[in-house]
Amino acid sequence: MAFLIRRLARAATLLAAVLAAIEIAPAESPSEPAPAPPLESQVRAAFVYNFAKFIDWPQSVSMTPDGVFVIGVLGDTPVLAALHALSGQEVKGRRLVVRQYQRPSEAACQVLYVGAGQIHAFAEAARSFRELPILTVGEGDEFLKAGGMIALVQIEGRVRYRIRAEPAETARLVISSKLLKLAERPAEQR
Amino acid sequence: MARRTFARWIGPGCLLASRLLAQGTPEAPDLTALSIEQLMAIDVTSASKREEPLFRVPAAVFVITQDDLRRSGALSIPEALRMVPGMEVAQIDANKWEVSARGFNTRLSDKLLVLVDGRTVYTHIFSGVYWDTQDLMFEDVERIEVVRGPGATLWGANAVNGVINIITKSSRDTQGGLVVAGAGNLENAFGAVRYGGSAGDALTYRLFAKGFSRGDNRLPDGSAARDNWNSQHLGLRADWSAGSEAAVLQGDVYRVRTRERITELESVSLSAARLIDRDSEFHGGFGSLAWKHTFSERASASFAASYDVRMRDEVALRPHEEVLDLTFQHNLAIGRRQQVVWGLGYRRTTDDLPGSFSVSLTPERGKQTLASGYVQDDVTLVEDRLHAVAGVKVESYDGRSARYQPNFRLLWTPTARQTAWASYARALATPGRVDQAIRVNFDVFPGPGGTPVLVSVFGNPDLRQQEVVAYEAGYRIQATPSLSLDLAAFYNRYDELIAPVAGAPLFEPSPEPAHLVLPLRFENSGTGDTRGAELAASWNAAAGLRFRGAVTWLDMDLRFKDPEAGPAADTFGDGAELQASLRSSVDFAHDFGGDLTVYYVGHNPLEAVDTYWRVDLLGTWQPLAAFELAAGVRNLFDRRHLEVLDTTERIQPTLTPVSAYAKITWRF
Repeated sequence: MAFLIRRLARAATLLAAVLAAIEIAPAESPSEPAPAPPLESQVRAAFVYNFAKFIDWPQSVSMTPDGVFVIGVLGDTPVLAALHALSGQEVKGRRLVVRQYQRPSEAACQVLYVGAGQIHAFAEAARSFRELPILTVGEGDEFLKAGGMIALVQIEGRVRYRIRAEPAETARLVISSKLLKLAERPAEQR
Repeated sequence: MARRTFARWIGPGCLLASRLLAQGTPEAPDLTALSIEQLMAIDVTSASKREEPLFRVPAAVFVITQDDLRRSGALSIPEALRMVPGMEVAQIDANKWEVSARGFNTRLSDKLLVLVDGRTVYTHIFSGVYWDTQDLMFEDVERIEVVRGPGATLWGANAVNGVINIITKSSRDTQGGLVVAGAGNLENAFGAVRYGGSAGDALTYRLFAKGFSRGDNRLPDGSAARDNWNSQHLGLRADWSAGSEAAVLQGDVYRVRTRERITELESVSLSAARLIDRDSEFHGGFGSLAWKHTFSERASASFAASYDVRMRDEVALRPHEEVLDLTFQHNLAIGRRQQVVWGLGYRRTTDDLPGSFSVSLTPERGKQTLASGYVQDDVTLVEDRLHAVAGVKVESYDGRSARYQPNFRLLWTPTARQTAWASYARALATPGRVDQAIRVNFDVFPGPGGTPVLVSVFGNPDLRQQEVVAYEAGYRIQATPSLSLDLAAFYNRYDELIAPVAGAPLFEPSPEPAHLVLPLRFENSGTGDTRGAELAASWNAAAGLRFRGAVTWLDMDLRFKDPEAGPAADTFGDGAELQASLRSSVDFAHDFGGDLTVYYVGHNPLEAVDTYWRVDLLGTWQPLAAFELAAGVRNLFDRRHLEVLDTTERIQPTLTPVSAYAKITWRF
């Protein structure tokens, strides 16, 4: 049935292209204030922001200069805009800065958010920063399979999350028991 | 899962909603202040429309939340709908109601669309809803959304004056056991059992059984009206989700028995119209499957299929109806400014309607198909200030040429605390089977030379769709953090309204004795306009003290296109000119709650029903989280009012007595 839905939806792509063509040009110009990101992205961003409170990073290591807490975003995702709106807030006593990276190798941050389209790039590079103390957050169960730590999933219209503990342990991140308790169980368990 | 309407921040997150409304929209809401648990409770679905706070919907919308439902003390869906501004709800007897939006009220109002989880529940036979077989576990209802006015673009046939969408909770949110039991002087007994479980992580389900036995209303002389109501439902819901796929499977079977007093004509003989007590029994059920695929945050698609079987064994007519319904919907964001939703729908209804002398259909068996497609685009014209929505629905029934139903809406948010909207829409109502094929032998009287004259109403296969052009406007203001107002006004122009027109008498040799027939034939004979306004107010006076008010004003001016055809009277359905309700809720310490609801229904000029008041009282006590006691008195201070004087089906209206009941709810 999913196949059927995909087929039908593809038929709409043409229509979408036409509608996109009549998209008012100035909308894309950077001078105009960006529209508010979709609610779901805002919720995802708020989750990422909240996660930081429940994670302890190893004291000795700092991936960024002192004074700032960096959330990096890999790829183009509406969550980026939602996270940008949180810039300047305080996280763990530091000022929050949001940066966008095009490649996993550029990542120099405490939290890395991986957009849905970047899972493959992330999976290829995951091995190389396995031991770096970066909390990786992504979308869907595929992200956990690709080596990510926390996957945001949409269940019944609500955003929930699943955690894979091993990569976090490897990265010497301590996840609070509260965060673990509220997590959805991984799909492969049971 | 299928078509959910303006999914929004209501329900458990009322606080969240008020916070959002108070903060307004120009700045994004501060979600960072919320805990993980609160974040997990936010509904982010974008089904029929993207997620939108109620405050910013460009239509006349009212939502009955689970809390509203629980504290209304309502034991049936029509009773719960009394609180909605713009709705007309009038009880006929112990098991029947007339329910409509913005006038035109009859038992089978043909201009209201009712959906349960996106599944159409009205019967095509009458284009109306049999409320006597609509029942579900009230505890498992998430919310009831009522959109007044034409919602034709997204909804489907008959959404001419309003859409009611009853949305039940996901089985994920109804885990564990629940037992409800109660009784009262009118309610002989009622009870429900539900169990929700899970199989693995991805699949949750619930099974439920609900039943009740309601006793007789009263006749004016105080005797029992013999109109009791027995209902048993057995149902299930399963929700499955894995990654980007989600599915919902639902099913329900029921057996309902009702009694009523009805005037029925049994033959052409002159003394054949009799008031009889009629026993009816209804069986039916449905199965549905909805599937949703989420492509990304910006796009999703869903497919839903349902099959309904309804069998009604009434004395005069024994309808058997089967409905196959298929819908597909695709939501996508295009660029930064456009939210598009488009979809396709197909519905096939087959029926078999064996009749009797008094009511019959020709042909007895029928089939109707309805194919539709729609597209709607929500464009942001000025960020956070101005939105435009344009949509069109194309609908074709029985292979006739397709007709367009356009819809334009404009939403203006001048400040964070105010919104104003306006809309123009055209909608069509498809004639039902009865309109096309019925013959009702209504009455008989002696004619010239002693020949009996039979008055008969005839359906008309050539009927066209009824039309409305609706102009609406609304204004909402969050006046203070605790007070909000929602005002909507409309002007509707109707055309091609279906009503019977008298024809030339004709001679009919059979059945014996030979007689003259005075035919009344359904024609697209009516036209006219209606206007009205509805105000809803909400005031949180103090911690634990809430007031919710609604005022409805309606003015109907309907007439036959041909003045010779006679006065319109209530041929088209009716409505009270003025209605109001006030609901007050108090939360006392120690988990005591009290609710007092007052309804006022003004004079109904078309039906000559007098003004009446209705007062309902409910007390609740929740000593433990898992245990609740409730006691209600309904129709308090009753002066034995009738809410309906006459029905087109000639069912005898009866008096609802003062009724009291007690109820326990136990969760485990």
